[in-house]
Amino acid sequence: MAEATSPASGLPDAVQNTASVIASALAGGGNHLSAPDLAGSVALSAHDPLLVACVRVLGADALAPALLYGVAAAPADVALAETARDAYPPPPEATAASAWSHWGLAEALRTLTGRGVRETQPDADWVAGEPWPRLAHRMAQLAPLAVPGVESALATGAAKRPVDLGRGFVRAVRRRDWLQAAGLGRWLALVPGVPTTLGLDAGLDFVHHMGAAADARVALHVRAAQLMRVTAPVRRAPA
Amino acid sequence: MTTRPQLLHDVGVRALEWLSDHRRHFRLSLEPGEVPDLGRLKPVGELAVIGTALFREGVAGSRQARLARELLDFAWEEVLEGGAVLDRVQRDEPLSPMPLEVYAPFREDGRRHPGLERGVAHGRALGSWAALEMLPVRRLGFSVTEERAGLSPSLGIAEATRRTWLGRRPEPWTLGYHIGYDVTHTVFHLTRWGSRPEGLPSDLADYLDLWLPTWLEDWAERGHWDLLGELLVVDACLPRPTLDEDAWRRYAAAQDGSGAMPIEGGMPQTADPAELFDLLHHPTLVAAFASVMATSRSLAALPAGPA
Repeated sequence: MAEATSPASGLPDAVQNTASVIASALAGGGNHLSAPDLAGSVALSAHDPLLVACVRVLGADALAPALLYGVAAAPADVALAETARDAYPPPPEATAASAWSHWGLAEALRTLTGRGVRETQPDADWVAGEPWPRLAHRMAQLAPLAVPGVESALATGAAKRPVDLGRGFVRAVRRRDWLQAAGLGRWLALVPGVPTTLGLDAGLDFVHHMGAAADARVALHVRAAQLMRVTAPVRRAPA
Repeated sequence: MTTRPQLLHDVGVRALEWLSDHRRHFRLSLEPGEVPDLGRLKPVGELAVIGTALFREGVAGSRQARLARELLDFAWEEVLEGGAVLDRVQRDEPLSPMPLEVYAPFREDGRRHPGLERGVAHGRALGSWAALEMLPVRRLGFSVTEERAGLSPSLGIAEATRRTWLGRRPEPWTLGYHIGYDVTHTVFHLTRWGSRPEGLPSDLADYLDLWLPTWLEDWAERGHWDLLGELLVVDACLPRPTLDEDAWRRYAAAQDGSGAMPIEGGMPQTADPAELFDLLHHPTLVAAFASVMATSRSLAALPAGPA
């Protein structure tokens, strides 16, 4: 089972491995600086289509340690992310989730390297109008874009709906949908105006405890959210 | 988008008709000569608090008001024998809070039993009365009951409120089945079963504004109609009720053609009428209550509503 040869066959495992490496880097303070790059950490070649596909799935989160600690990314990771960005341009009919994921990876690369032009943002009008359960579902899928320093119409829209994102978090925990809860926890760590009665910090711990062992993406989102709670000043409330 | 008053109203009409059709099962003994089952006082107490609320709201239309009045008359005169049953229970168990809890709504409705009131006064004179061990939400309910009966609460209502789950406003994502009922009953007690929405402290109302929508969604999705119905009453008790259309539509769809509301999922599979009543009377009373409260609030919100 170990030698996955096509991108499709071993992708879920590769995503788990990669997410686990990133989550550990986020949880380990500055130790990520001494860790090997992603390819080295998951023991795959940087040109392996499986790893490229995996970075495409994780989107901007492939670069999360550098983005969240505000340090330079390993050159090999930048090259890998650029390969993933260029290998999978979203088709015109791409879903919002897929279009935003691509945009997020491209924008994260631009933020970290200063190279390239800012791509046109996909549609974000829905963020203002979706009922809260549907908003929660969609925003959780785009949690990699909940990063300080990556300005987007999504983040601007999210900042206007802290209560609805909080309601989504409550619903996700009640449904034991730990991945959705963790993704929403990230947005809640980013936006101002989250009600204190939500108990976000205890909630992040709870979600990690319940869901991280079975899904490394839960660990990644929770660690990112917890890091943001400590290091990133929450934005001011929209006027 | 709020729900159409007609939808809110129809749920209650059908529920009340079912309760009226099955009222003989509220009796403490079904056959003459049987020893009354005092465990059956609880449904009568629920009928009393909800029945008086139905009658009070006065938006139910003449037929519904008449059915509610007939049910209350039946419960007081025939089941409780004009309060004599409660008086006997109080003599058997001088410290039991139940006779006063069942009596308080009837007393507010103008029905009195002086002997029971004297018995309660003796019980209240004991240190043991105030020291009774109770869960916080029950203690709050008891303080409110004492106040409703014209007595000073054994524990101040503000302090009793602070001791409840809702009073502490904890993490809303921990609200499970039992906590759900603790929350609904805290609101019922504080608002005097919907008659005094201002009895709900503003910090608790703000907390419910934020998180009640998630609980409505959660329990509607789980198909737990009894708890959903109680949460819909809570919504109607808030300063800014949502009268959530989706939750109400799912709730109305769960009601049986007979007017009964199942507790959870579908109707119970039993042919025994007494067993069926035991399973259905609570959720159906709640359905009548939720309906009348929501209808009342919905009509009050109409720009050109009836004066």
